[in-house]
Formats: sequence, C-alpha cells, structure tokens
Amino acid sequence: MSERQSMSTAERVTFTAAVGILVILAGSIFWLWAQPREPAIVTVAPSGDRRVTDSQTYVTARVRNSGDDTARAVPVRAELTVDGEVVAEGEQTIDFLSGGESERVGSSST
Amino acid sequence: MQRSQSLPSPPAGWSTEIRDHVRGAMGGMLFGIPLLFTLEVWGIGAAATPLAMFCVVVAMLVLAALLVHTGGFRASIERTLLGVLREAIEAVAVGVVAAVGVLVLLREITLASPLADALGKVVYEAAPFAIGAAVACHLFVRSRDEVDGEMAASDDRGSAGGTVADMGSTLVGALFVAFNIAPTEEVPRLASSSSPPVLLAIAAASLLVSYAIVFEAGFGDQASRREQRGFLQHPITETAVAYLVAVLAAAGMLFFFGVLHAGDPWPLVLNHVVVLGLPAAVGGAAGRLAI
Repeated sequence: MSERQSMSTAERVTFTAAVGILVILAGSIFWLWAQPREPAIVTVAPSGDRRVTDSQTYVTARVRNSGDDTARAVPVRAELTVDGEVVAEGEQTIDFLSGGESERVGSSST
Repeated sequence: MQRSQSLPSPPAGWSTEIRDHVRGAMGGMLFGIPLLFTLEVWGIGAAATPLAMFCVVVAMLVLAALLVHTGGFRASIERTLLGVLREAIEAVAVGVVAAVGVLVLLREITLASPLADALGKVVYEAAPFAIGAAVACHLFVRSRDEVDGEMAASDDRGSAGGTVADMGSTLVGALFVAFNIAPTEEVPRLASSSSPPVLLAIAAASLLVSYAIVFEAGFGDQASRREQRGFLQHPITETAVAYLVAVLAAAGMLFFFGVLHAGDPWPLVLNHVVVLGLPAAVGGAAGRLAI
C-alpha cells in the first residue's frame, strides 16, 4: 500500500454515495426494528382460476401471511369433492412465506 | 491485480475510480454468484430479524476492513486506518448494490416484496459480494514468472489455437461454477418466474459481467488479453462466443442432471438455460483469467 494525497472529487463522490447507501440500509433496519411485530397469520383463499381441460381439473389458491414474522414450511392441501366424496387430493409446501407476502399455489387432479 | 507499493500516488480521477469500483463489483460477482442461487439463503434472509440484519451489516464492515487491509479493490490506498475504513465502507456498499441488482434481475425482489423480506435478502446476499469486493485485488494475481511466461507464449495465444484455448478455459470455468448449481431446485424456480423481458435482461447482464471481468476489471493480465489478435479474440466477439459456450455448457449440465429432457418444449429449455447461463458466464470469464 502506498501513501495517498488528499481525496479527489471522484473519490469524495463515490465515498459519499457509499456512506449514503449504508445509512439507508441501516436506517431501514432500525425502522423495521421500531415497528411492532405480529406473529405469522397465514390464510388461504381460492383465487377463482379453476379450469377443467380434458380429464384434469386445475385449482389455484392464494396463500397470504398477514402477520410480520416469516412462516416456514407452510403446507397447503387441496381436495376435489364430487357428490360429497373426495376423489382426489394434493398438497404443496411453501418453504418460506415472509410477513406481508402472498404466494399463488396450484393443484391439478385427474 | 497488485496494489501500488512504493511511490505516493495522486488522488484518483473518474476513470480510475470507475475502474476500481468495477473491479470491486466483479470481485463480488465471482465470490457471490454461487450463493445467490441458494434458496436457503433467500429464506434465511427473509426470516431474519432486524437485530440479526444489523449484526450481519456490522460483521460485514469488520470483515471487509480486515480483508481490505491486505486486499481491497483499489489499485492504491492510504496506509492509514481511515483509508482502510473508507475502502471497507465502499466494499460493503458495492456488495449491497451488486446484490440488489442481481436479486432484482432474478425477480427475488420486486416492487411487491415486503420491506423486511427484501432487506433481509439484500443483507445476507450482500455479505459474499462485499467479501469478494474486499479481496478483488488478490483475485487472479499473476507472479512475474507467470507474466513472463505468458509474454513468451503470446504469439501462440494470438493464433486460432489461442481461441480454442480460451473457449476451453471458458468451458472449464463454466463447469466449475455452474455444475454445483445445475441440479438444484433454484434453477427451475427462477426459470418459471422469468418472463421474456427478464430473460433478455439476464442474458444482457451475463454478457456485461463476463466482459467486465475479463476486459475492464483489471484482473490477471488484462492488457495482453486486449492485445490478442486471434480468431474471435476481439473483446466483443470473444465475450459473445464465450457466452455461447457458457450457455451450451449450461444446457449440457441441465440435461446431464435430468432437469431438462429431450422433447421438452423449447421455451422451457430456453428459460432454464438462460438462468443457469448467468453463473456459467461468470465462471467462464473466471476460467479465461485463471487457466
């Protein structure tokens, strides 16, 4: 490493930008810290996109975490009922669902 | 890339400053890309508490300062504590910007992402990028003997044989980096959420990063690479052909692991290949510098 003379304009600008980025990052973290946090609240609602092609039925649903904490390994189970009898079922697992996040899941059955 | 060791250096102008930061960003890419394709890191980041995020940022700064003391991304640096701290802050900022850019490109962060989710992912993914930036000057350092040997062999590298050697190095580098990523579920997940404009952006970013690593960041013996006159060894054509090699390597790996199968529809193949093409292109660029 060698000795440096004083900072140039370019160096000042890039250093100021770097400090600005870290201040925004740290500020956002502290803002999150100050917010009250609710545990994960997961709800599932059919999204209404059910369609039937040939012998297959496709059903989609939207899974939403309206809490603040992240929900891990969320199982979503779907059943196809015909005349009161369950003829098919499917299950998907969402690995991570962050607070405020919603995810669309789909299931198909023959 | 080796830092200036002796004479006092003048303050950097814009061109030096931009080149130094490109070097830092590309060092981050080389170090951080494999971790960017790790679903568990996205999950850990999304589930992180603000306290954990803050601790990671502080740890990043401390680690970057320690690494900058011997490595760094600038061609020259102040010997003082303030100089080291300044470069460490910039290395972390470069890591944050690079991580945000790639996470947005891969649609892991969108305008619909909750703040906590996006912030956690950025903080955890920025860590390897910052480490890569903080050691950028130590990446692909050549000893004087190696440089002398390369100069003696420069005639050979300017021939068609040099082009074949470059493409071979690209293939080896692409395999080295992307082979670990190809069989994972991250590739289908990212591919399924990539629309045509996103795929175009990923391809453009792959080309840009590959070009910057080999021809702009100052890694290895960049000057002699720019002077090569072999078939397809102009920086632009070499970058394009190397990307093609990386993409073909990505396709081969995806078929090898059974992620793709013969008869799959071509849009599905294209999605997967372009997504895996990004780490393959970064690995390919590293291969051309290293081998």
